Amino acid sequence: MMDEETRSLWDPMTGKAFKGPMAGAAMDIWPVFYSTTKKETSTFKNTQLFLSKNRNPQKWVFQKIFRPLLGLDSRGFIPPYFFGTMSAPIDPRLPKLTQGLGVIADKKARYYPLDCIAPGETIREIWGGEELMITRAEDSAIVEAVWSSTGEKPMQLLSRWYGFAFTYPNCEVFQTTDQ
Amino acid sequence: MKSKQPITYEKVNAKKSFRFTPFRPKSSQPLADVRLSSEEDLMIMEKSERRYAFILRQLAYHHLAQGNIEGEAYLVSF
Repeated sequence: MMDEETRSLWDPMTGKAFKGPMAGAAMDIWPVFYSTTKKETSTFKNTQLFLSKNRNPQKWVFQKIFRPLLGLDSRGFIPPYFFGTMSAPIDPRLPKLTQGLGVIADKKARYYPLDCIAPGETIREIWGGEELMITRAEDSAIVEAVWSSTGEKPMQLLSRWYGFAFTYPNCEVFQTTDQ
Repeated sequence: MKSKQPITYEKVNAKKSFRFTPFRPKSSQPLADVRLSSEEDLMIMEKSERRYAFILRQLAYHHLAQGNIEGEAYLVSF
């Protein structure tokens, strides 16, 4: 992404500027979490919503008519021109639009493709001597990683493969035993 | 046939406008008060023990949301 003030280029995943006047600068980063309205409102009563009022007729037609017709909600869609803006080839280990969870901890990055985790399943792995639990919700595509001992969450990103592999080119990819 | 030129910083920098429209929220409202589908996917961030939600499909359109919470600037990317 490019900022409007200095027109420096920033990596949206790491928060670091890599080109332009701000190259070398880094923003503080916070993990974000995924939920659904039902889950969030049943657990937390005071969550505030930022609601975009943007009304774009083209977007409305695309979302309401073309996305369902073309089946894009299930397999994902990125405008073709987008991939031409990437400054490195896409890692071929997985299909580029694969959806999954990337976890970054102990100087290691690992990608968990959504298809490898069944709804309601929890994967347990040892990272740096600590157990990490990766759980997929029963009723949605939300996946979350949590340290077993503390309940804290490591840095994680629900991301498509092309983006995560671009930022963490040497990341490991989780595979089930039958793969 | 015209050969495909790689995207460079200089090329991007020369453009006057940006391709995406960032979401710049000025205010928030209680999630519980907004009529949304119970299965609506949300992105949640926490700040000073308060939780803030964005609708995921809106972020998929904007890609970036930026604003200010308790005097601190934030940027959410998706």
